[in-house]
Amino acid sequence: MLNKDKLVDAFNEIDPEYINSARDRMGYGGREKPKKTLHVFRTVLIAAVITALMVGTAYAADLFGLKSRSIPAEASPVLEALTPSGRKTIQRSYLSLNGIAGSNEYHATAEWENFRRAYEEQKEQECAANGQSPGSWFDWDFRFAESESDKEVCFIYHVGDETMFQKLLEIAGKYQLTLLTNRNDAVSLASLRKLSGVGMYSLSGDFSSAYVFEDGSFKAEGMLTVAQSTYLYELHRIESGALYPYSSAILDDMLCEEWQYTAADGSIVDMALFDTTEFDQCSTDSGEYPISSYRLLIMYDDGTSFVTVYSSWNRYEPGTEEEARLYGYASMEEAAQKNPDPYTIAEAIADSFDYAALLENEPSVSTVLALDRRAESNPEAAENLARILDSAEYKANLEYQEAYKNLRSSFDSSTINFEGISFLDEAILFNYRDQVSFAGEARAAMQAAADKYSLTMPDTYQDVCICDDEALAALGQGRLIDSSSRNYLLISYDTGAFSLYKTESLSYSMHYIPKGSFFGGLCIWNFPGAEDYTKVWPYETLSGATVCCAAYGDYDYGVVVYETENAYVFLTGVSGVTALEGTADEVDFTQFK
Amino acid sequence: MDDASIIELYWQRSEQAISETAAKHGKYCRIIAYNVLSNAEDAEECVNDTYMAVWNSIPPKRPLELSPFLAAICRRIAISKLRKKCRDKRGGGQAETAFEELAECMASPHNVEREIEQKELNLALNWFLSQLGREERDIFVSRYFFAASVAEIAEKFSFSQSKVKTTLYRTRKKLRDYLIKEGLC
Repeated sequence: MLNKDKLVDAFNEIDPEYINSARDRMGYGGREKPKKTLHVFRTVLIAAVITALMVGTAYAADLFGLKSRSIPAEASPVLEALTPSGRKTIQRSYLSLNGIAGSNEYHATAEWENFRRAYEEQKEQECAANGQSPGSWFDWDFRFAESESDKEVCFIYHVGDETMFQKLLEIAGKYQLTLLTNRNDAVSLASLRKLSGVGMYSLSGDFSSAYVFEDGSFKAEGMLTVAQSTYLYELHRIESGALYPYSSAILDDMLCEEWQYTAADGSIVDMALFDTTEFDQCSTDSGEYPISSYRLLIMYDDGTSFVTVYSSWNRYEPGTEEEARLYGYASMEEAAQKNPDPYTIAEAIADSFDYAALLENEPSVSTVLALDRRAESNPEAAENLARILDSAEYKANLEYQEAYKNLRSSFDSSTINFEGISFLDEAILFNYRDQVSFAGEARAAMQAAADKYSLTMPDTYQDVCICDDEALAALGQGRLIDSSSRNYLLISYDTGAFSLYKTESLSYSMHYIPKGSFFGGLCIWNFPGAEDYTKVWPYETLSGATVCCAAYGDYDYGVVVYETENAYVFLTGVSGVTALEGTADEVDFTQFK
Repeated sequence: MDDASIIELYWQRSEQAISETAAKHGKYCRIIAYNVLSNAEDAEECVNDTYMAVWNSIPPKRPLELSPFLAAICRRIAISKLRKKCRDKRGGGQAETAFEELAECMASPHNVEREIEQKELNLALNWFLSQLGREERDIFVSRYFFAASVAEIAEKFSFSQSKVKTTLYRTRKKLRDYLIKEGLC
């Protein structure tokens, strides 16, 4: 069997959680979770519907944000789609995210989007005609760009060759707009706020991820809870003055309703709600269980900063008690409670944001970008790291990890490391398929490592799910984490050690290891030596504590380390410089004793 | 009916287990099968084989979750049919393209120096996936577990197709580097 085939087969044995996560993102099977917001929108303004909405109010057609931001598509203006009612030809347009009609940003977006899509289509056709594989024309290494800064621009704007690059420069110059040159990932809400200067904009819900540009513009994703159901959202806060690299495609010919709404914080926002049921084909194959689908667009701006929020969801309307139970509800009544009408959901989502906070912008991206993270430039930090990695506690963990790896290779186990599981847990030492235990050998390896370094072995542990502030505070170390997420798993040992696993958004692991105690649950990617880290730097976190960040490899696999008089603290499971710093910003290290 | 109850029906050897599985997860299985086989008739046959395979495996197995358990079985059966089709030169559609991309992650098609144990590769792949960010992992799994097309992934993730291709390319490169470092290719 070819090695490739073995790798294909290896995917059959991946963690079920990974399968489920991808299944949910793709909207496959079972009860569909609310879909991630889409860039592809299908809308047309139905005059009668708008008129009905605006009864009793003064209405001007150009007042609504959607129409003022819609850009007619010149390239591939129509799309063929197959809907339950038959094949349809749909008109396409784009949405400007940082400028209304007439502005430089709007015109630049219009020119760039239409050029880019037409050019990409033309290049793909050329590849097909020449027998080349799709996308082969695109230079992913951006060799046509001379400087690193230009390469970064090409990455941000998805520029595949010299022709595209020159066109981008031409358009930016024509409309006197800057091109964004730095995109930084924000893995935590704290990090997003630090980099972009945005205020506390989400009045409820969880932050998922974001990226921030040097002018403070950002795109963030998260989840909101409305009527006991969860809704994903995508949020853009874009500053004028730059050509923003992204826009949304809108497909016409879909029922759309627009209105202005006064949100909970008093801001007046433009709302556009699309009924996409026909195009999403959300009913089951038998058509027995009706599901409607909706997409929401919320727009707000102050003339220089533009906010756009996307969300989408399915609405379940079971007609019988049996249908309700099939979709996981106890009764039709519960289904109705958790699936209110789409306008209620739309306005509840709009109420979830503080729009004034969204427009706050004092970014510190430039400060962060100026940090010199190279190991040779930070000898004191590098020395500290080396000392910690040479500690008895770290070496004992490392040796036990090696012993455990050798043990597990003899068995067919799905457990790779101790993420989310106590290293003392007998269950993980069982092969759940073959029901064969190697607990005794693993315990012996632990004891050997502990004895070698004269460390105290833990006897017992306790694990508990943390899902609110009160439970977090009960850790006894104050408000440890500053995050919109409230879901963690805490495993604490009788030696005083504990592990905290963040189970939502971009996850990470934190381990508090008292000096003098054995801890066998610390897992670091490939366990590099101190000399292998090419980047080692001190980082002042949001809490005011200075930690040591270290990273290695092409993708900056890394770790955050902090030392107190009595313990070591490790943050692991994160890669990327910005991600390391952003994760560190989420933890109040000053709380550790 | 929730999955735990359906699994209990399998243990009781009640044939209602299959009808409940089909009602709740049938569409999911069909999507997986169709993505791999690109043929509705073959996909339907694959799904039926999946139900039979699940019936024969529970008991003795008692999966914690039915959905990923079904997905893995369905995928395995679909890939087996795909390989047979390819041998018969009947063509495999875009799934074959997806799986061919994984060849990049292995240094050579035939490793005569060392016979890679499937178990080692399974463990290594899981470790690799655990180190990825969620979005990157979801894209990677969507492509190589579900054999979803780049176009579909781009739509569902609200990305351009070029961004999806870039992400897949970089992740494959990371996987290759990791497998080389582990001595697995």
